[in-house]
Amino acid sequence: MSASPLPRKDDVKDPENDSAVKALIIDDSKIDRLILQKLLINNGYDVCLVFDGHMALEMFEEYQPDIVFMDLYLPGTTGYGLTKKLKQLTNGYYVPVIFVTAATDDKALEQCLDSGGDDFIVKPIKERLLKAKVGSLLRIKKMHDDLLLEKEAILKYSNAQAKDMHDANKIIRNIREPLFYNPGNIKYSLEAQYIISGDMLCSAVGPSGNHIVMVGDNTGHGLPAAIGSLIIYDVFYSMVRKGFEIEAIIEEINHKLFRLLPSDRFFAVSLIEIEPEYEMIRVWNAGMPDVIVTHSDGAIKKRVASLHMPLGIKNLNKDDIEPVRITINNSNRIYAYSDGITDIFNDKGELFGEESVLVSLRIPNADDRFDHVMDNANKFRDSHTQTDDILFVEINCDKSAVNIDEKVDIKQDELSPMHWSLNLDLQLDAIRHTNPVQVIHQTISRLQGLGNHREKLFLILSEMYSNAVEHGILGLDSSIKEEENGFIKYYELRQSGLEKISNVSLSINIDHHAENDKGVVSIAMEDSGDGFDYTKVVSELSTNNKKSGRGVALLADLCRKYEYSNGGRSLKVEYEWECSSDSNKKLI
Amino acid sequence: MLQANKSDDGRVLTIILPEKFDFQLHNEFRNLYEPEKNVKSLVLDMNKTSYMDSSALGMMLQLKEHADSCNGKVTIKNAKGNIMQIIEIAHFDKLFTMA
Repeated sequence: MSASPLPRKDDVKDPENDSAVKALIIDDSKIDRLILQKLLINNGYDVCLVFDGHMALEMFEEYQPDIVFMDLYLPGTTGYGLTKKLKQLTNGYYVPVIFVTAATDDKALEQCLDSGGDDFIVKPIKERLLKAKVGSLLRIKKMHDDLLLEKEAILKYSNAQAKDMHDANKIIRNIREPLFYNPGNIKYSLEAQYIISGDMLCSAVGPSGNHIVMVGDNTGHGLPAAIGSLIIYDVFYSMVRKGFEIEAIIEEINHKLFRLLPSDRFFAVSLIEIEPEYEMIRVWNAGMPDVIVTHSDGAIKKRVASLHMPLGIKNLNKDDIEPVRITINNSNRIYAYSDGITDIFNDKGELFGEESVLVSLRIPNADDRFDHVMDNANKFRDSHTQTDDILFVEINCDKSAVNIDEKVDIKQDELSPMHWSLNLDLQLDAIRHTNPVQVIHQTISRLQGLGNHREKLFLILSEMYSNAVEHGILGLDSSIKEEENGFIKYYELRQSGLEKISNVSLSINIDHHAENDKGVVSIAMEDSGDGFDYTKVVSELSTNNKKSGRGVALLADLCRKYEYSNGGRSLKVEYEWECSSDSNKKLI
Repeated sequence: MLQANKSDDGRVLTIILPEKFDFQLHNEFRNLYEPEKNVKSLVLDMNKTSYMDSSALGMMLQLKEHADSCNGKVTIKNAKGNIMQIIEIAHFDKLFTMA
């Protein structure tokens, strides 16, 4: 026996339009069956007749009637018992059962309805009453079955949606987790596992050793937020690795989001760049809660409020982006978070708020501070369900907490050494507005591969370039850095110096050739400045442990040869590298 | 839940926001301003508002997009306390006229 349990949608008859309503008549009296059959056929119904309970059950499944006419007394069973059985076979669909009975006592009729029957009709059957009752029951049936179909469709959709979200979440995590750089000084919480969160946390280290952390909040949840986050991950990680500064990264993310996102979507973000020596950070905040730098006791040392509207809203260029510079020491910690933590409500409808975060930070043992804030936030939330994601991040500014061996695994190409050279001459406006280090470094990396030597080469290039610009051209005294807030003062002088100078140029020459199995990169930079007494610098190298002048020491350390000439205006270094699949991954 | 009134000359549409301005209002909010193609000034009255989330900021951006397309402007009126703080953090005071 074939039993297709669920009528398809087009099987559900519309009593107004469709004449082929299927009626199942269950009656052991031949006369009664024929009277009812004739009435129903006259009214356009399709009719199936059975005589007993056994056949009724069989035909109910095979014939799939839209309505059932039930005799009260049947051989071996009663209409009541049979109705109960039939109603269990409907799979949630509504198949009305009408009792056809000669009985008129209230108790018998009551029992018809109690057993699951939907109505009754008393013999002799009056045609108009029959038509009215059947019509009314079929209208209810249609309503019920339509609702059931819709409910099933919604359930199916919702399950598919949940599955999609789950999968998308997994993809995002697979992208996010291997890229995330944590040398041991970042603690973070990033909740919302199964709904893709709008919160984002990225961390990567550039080729010069600058560590950039991005804490962001993408408007909305779910797929649109996820798609936005993919764009952001892509821009952030590829640009940090290529050595771009936060200004360029911000500009690019903004540009992409502005072009791609609908107008009501945006990205609030804080970027924190920690310079390789852990003496200074640069912070830029667009639409996020304040970024907090604390003293050792958790008191606020500095807070960076939102400096700009979130990204993706309108065009901006580098001039709109001025990160705040903050001098740090090893007892400082940096805290950044999304409004998920400040917007926690308690049972009374009160907000946790920024003040509670700041108060929670004030505990003397800095290592417990992160957990302390999270505990306080979770206690406050009490029985309330979470309404937003909580992103809370702590960065330890103690360089000794940083494991410099921590590296994110990136495939690096190596090519055996080839012979080539590269010349670049920069005039005044180019020196003012660009930093050619990334471009040169990328060109060399593409040309030669260089594998794990890329980072050292980036360091050499950027040290030489900043030496040429800051000392050669601008004549800045790096001992300024020794003073209080010296780093910041130094960079301000650099900035104003660049605006004032005139008539300068800088030429860069890079040559690469093979020597035995090794490659040798020679880099020469010559500036048009006044030159300086390089003999002093060279003789100081062996005793150097100051904050300043380390650049040259670094060059001396990394390069097999370095040589000043032309009264200090020209510096030439040679860096030797070897093709190897297992070269030392350490950054110096 | 949202109330709105239009000036007699039909050039100013004021939308009075409720206590809670969030995503729940998304459709209702959009339906209020979208048919208005001749309005030159759209005013958001936040006098009653004490809570708003980031999707509310998004809705404001959509409103601005609409206003820009009909050469109109959007003014935010009576924002205070918490709400003013959110607007300032997002620097939306530079995007909208504040009154």
